[in-house]
Amino acid sequence: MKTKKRVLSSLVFAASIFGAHAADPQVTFLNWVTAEPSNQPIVQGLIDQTGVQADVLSSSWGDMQKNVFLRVRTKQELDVFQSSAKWLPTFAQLPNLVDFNEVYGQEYLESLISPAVLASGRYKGKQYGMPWNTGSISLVSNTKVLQQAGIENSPTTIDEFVETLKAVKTAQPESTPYAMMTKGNNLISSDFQLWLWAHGGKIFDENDKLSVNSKATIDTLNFMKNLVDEDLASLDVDRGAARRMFGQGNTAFYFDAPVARGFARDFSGEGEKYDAYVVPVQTPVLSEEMTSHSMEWGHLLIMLKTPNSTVDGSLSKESLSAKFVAGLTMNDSVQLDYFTNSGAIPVTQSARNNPLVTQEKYIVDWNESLGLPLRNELSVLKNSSNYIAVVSEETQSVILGKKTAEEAAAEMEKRIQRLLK
Amino acid sequence: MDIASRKTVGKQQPTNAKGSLKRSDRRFAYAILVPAMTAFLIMVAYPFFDAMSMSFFQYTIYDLEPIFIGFDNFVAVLTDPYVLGSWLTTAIFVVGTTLLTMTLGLAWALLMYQDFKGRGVMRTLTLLPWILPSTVSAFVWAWMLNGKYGIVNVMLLGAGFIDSPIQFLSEDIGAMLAVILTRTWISIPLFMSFFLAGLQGMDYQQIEAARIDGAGNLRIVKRLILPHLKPVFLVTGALGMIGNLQQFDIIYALTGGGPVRATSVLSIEVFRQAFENWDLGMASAIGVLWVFTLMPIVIFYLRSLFKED
Repeated sequence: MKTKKRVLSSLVFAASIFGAHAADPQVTFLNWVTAEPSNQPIVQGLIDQTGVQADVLSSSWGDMQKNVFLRVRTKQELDVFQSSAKWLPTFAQLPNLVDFNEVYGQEYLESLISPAVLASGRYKGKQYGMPWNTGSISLVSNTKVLQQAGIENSPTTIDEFVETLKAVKTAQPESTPYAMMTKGNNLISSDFQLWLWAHGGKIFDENDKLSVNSKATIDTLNFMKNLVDEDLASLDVDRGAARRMFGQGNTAFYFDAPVARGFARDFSGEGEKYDAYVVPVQTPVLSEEMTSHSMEWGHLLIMLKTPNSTVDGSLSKESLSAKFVAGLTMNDSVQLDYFTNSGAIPVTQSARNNPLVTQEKYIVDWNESLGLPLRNELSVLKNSSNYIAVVSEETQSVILGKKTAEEAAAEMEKRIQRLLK
Repeated sequence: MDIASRKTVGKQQPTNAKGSLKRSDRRFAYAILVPAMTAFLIMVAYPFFDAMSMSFFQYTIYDLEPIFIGFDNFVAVLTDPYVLGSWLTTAIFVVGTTLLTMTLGLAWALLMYQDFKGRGVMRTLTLLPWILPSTVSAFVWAWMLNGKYGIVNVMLLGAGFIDSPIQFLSEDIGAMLAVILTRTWISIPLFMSFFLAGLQGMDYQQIEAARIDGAGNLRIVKRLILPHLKPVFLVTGALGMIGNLQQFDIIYALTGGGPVRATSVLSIEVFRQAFENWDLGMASAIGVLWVFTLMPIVIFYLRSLFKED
C-alpha cells in the first residue's frame, strides 16, 4: 500500500511538472541573426526585452527559405520567422500567413511606422511582413585602409574607383581592395545589379521589357572581370568573407547593409573604436552627372496563423505571437538598442527621429550614400531563384573567362526570356 | 505418383528449392522478413513511387495543388542544356572518383598487407577519414583549399611552386578536383578494407614461390594479385560508382555545385530544383531519370553478387 502511494504521488508530481512545462506558452521563432555569433547576444537581449517566452531557432541565412518551407510543409511548430524583404514574394505563397493589418489595424500601424517603410512588408495589398529594420545595400568604405593608401576623398566615378583600388593594392599588396561578391548566387546577382545601375543599365526597362542584353551589361561584366584579373577583387568571396576582410583591414570597399558597422566592430577586435573607419559612400557611377543607386534592403518578421497568434480562435494583438512581433518591431527601446549595438536602422518613426539616430554620423553618412534606392529587379519575379541563378552563372562565366561579356549578356537575355515564357 | 509417395520424395530431396524448408520454417522466414520489408516499403518504395508520380505533375510553391502535366517535366529536363550538362558533370565525378579511390585504395591495401612494425596502429588510423562525418571532412578540405587562407596555398607558395594563391574552389577544374579528392580521401579506408580482405584470402606461398622464380613486384601484382582480386574489383567498382552517383553532402558543402555548375552533379540539381526553385515536379523528374542512370550499375552489381553465390 505504501509503495502504491509512493508510486501514485510520484506520478502526480511528474505529471504536474510535465503539465506545467507543456502549458508554458512560448513562441517558436526561426531567424538567421542569432546564427551569427556577433549578433546572437544582441538579438537574444532584444527577445528577452519583449517579455515573451520564445523558442529561438537559428538557421544560416542561405538555408533560411528552405528551413521555413520545410517546417511549414512538415507541420512543425513555427509561429514567427525572419525574412529578407526581397524574399517576401516567395514567402507570400505560404498558407496561413497573417495580414498584420488584421492584427494591429492598418491605422495603428501607419501611426507608428511610415507607409514607405511598411511598404517593404506589403504584398498584393496585404501586410504579410512587419518591418524589423530597414536600410539599403550601399557601398561601405574602410577609411583606415584608404588613408594608408593616401586616399582622402571617396571616388565618385567608376574610373576614380578603379584608380583608388589600384592605390590600395600598391600600398597593401596582400589586400583585396574591393571585396566583390564572387560566391553565392544571391550575392553575385546583387553586386551585378548595383554595378549595372552604375553603368546606366537595367535588367528590365521602365516598361518592364527585358533589356539586359545591352552595352551597359557588357561594360558591367567587363568591369567586374577586369577587377578580378587585375587582382583588385578576389574569387571565392561571399558576404561573410567580405565582412571579415573589411574588419581586418584587408579590404577598402564592399557592399553591405547598415549592419556592416556591427560586423566591423566584431571582426576588427577593436569594438566601437573601429566605427570611425566604417563610412558608407555613394556607389560610383560612369559619369558624374549620373544618379547613384543603392539597393533597397530590410528585414521583416512574418507571422503564421497558429494557436499562438489567436485568442479565442481569432487573430488578436493580445496573442503571444503578436506581442512578440510588436515587442521587437514597435518598441522604441528595443529598436534603439538594436540600432546602437549593431547599426540596424529602426522602423518606427519615433525611434528614427530619436537623437540617437538623427545625430549619429554613421546614419547621416548612410542616408547620403543612398542616392536613389532601387528594388532588386530579380527578387520580385515569380520563381526568382531561377532568374538569380541565370544572372549569377552568366556573370561568373565572364569573371572566370569561360565566356565573353557579349556572349554572356546575350545568353542572359535568352535564358531569362525562356524563363519568362 | 500418389500423395504419400510425393511427400516421401519431398522429404528425400532437401535440396529442392520449394521442399527445402518446412511450412513452419517458411512462415518463420517470412515473419523475420516483415520488419525489413516494412522499413523498405516505408523508407524506399513509398518515397520512390511518390516521387515517380510527382514527376508527372507541376508542383511548385505557387501551386496549391499538384497539376497533372504528363511528360512536360521530362521534356523540360531533356531539352534544357544546362540541366543535361549535369549528366556529363556526374559522369566525370563518378568515373574520376571511383578510379582514383580504387587505385589509391589498392595501393594502400598493398602497403598495409606488408608486415611492418606499427601496422595495427596504421590500419586503425587509416579508418579515420571514413569515421569522420563527411560534412566535417568537406569543411576541413574547404579551409585547406581556401584561396586566401588555405594551408595548401601556403605550402605551395612557401615551396615556391606558385607565385600567387590558386583559387581551387572558384575555378572549374580546381573545384572538380577538390570534390574528387575529398570524396576519394573519405572513401579510401572502405576500399582499402575490401582489398585487404581480398589480399588476406590469398595464398602467400604463391607470392613467395613467384619471388623465388624471379618475379618482381610489378609482375607479382599484375600476374597474381590483380587476377585474385578481380571479384573484389567488380564489387568495389560497382559499389563505388553507386555511392558516387548518390553523392551530395561533400559537393554541396565544398562548392554548392559551382562555380557556374562546374560541380553540379545530379544530386545537386535535384536539390536545387526542390529547395531553391521549389519545383518538386521538376526535381522528381530529374530524380526518376537519375534512378534510371543508376539502374544498369545496380543490375550489374546484383548479377555479379548472385553469380558468386
